[in-house]
Amino acid sequence: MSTLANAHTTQLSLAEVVAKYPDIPRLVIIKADVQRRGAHYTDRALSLLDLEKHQITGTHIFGARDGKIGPRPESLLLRDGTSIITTPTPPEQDPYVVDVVDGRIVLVDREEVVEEVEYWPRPDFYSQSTADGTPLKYIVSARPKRLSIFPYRYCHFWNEGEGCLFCDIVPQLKKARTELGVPTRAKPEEIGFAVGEALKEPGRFTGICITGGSILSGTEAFDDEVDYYIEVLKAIGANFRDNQFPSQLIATAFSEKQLQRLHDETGLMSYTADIEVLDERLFEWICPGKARQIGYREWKHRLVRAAEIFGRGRVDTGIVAGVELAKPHGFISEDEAYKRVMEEAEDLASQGVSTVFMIWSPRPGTALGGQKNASLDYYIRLAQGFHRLRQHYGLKLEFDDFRNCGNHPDSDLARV
Amino acid sequence: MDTQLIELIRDPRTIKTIATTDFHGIPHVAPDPWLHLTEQSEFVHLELHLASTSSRNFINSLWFNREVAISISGLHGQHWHVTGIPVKAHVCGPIFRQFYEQVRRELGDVDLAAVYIIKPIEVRDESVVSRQSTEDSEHPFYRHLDRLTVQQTSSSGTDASKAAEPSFQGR
Repeated sequence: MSTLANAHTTQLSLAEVVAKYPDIPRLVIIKADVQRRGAHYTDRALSLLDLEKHQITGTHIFGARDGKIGPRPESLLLRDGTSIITTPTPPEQDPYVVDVVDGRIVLVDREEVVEEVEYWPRPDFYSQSTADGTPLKYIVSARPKRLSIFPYRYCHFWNEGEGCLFCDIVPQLKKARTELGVPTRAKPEEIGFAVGEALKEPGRFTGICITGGSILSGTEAFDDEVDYYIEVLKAIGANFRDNQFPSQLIATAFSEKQLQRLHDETGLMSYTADIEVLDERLFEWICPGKARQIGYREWKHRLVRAAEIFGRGRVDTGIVAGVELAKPHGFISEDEAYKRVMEEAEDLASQGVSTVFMIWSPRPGTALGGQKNASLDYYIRLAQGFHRLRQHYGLKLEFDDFRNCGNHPDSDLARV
Repeated sequence: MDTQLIELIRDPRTIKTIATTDFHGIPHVAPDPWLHLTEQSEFVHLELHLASTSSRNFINSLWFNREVAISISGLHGQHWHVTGIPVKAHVCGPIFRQFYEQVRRELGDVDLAAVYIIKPIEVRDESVVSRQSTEDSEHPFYRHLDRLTVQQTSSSGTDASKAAEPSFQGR
């Protein structure tokens, strides 16, 4: 097994990892590996992209690995209904190749067909616009089963040069605004309207996820961000007959008072505050804005308070798995990183907070761009470890599962 | 696919049942009223509830290539047995939507979690008539001798199909 985080040549192959973990589905391992290495679309594959039937890139808050924003498939679906959340990746970075073989769209690795895939189907509401002509897909976008809302695409941590080192939210905002006309701050009433239109499509969506950049201002820090989310959630909630509706807010770690307001004044059913990296020393390096404004220990404390307010199984935190191995300050070995991450994740799980992981995809425009993420073996160990923690502590994660998110190989495992 | 089986599956009076197993091999059996065949002779199973035992078992079968079993029984002694592997789960897209709307038209306010496509591995005619014929021809030592005498005993019939049919009446 590899002990070097950034050396693909010494790592176990897909087939070797599949053989090593017989209890982990091959499709979940493939998903993790595609998310790890990215995907490159051949011209043949792009020729099957139908703008009337499929979703294309450009709506997301974060950018692609190749730094472009042009029309390519938004992402992929595996035959078990799992999404692969990945972005177009330059061929020189050794991505999987999406090609067409015998009329089928397939993932190819070193000329071997690995698995059949589909492009994400385009939702009905993507053909509509607001009264002022803004396409609804730039206000509310879609995953196969989820509505994604990015109400505010700027992050105030960047004002002081304290954005997270793996993040490209501001460069992506500038591209999306310049090249596509995506609004930086969406109007709550337009979000409410777009959600209403989306919900007219039978059987398409099971959850709504709202996320955006941090807003530091307000009487108490982040009060303005909370006020805005409350407006947005109320506008969305007007579409539903019940007070609460299946929803997730991924936001800054708010104070207890702010969390209570979100819980009491809106229909929000779950809450996520991404800690990004589970180690205090690395948090201060990788997330300088979050560290200065809130701090690692307070971030964890607020997550635990959130679980008391929203309930066990309704709160989690995400990590950008692999950044804990980034150079020059990250862990030297994957074993060391895994041990630390699991210790911290268990501390949270024991207090009712789940941890999920996104696979770090080093993108241009980020401070850590140009580095490589961790081995496939590492990601599968994490998936298994996080899943077992949830089983041990009896934590459900239905709001952040394969349908309501799709970005976490660890939560996919809860399907059986 | 046998035309008699195709007709039987289309008959709304036919009883269709599906058996699945979990990761540890524990079996689960459930009625499958919407089971039907595609033009490609693959079976379609509608899974209504994501947290149900059969839903979890179905994804387990798809992930680990474990077979599911289907029983199809008609009013007149017809009985077919199918084993297959779930190969695809539609959770969105036009096929999913079509069935989502269908089950809600038929059942009211219910949900649909996934539309599973099952690739058949083995399809067997298991009606008593067919099964007896196979048993007699391929396993001659399994027969009771009184069935083979010149004059059969009064408790037996002379025609397996006539003997079998009454036992299925009223199923």
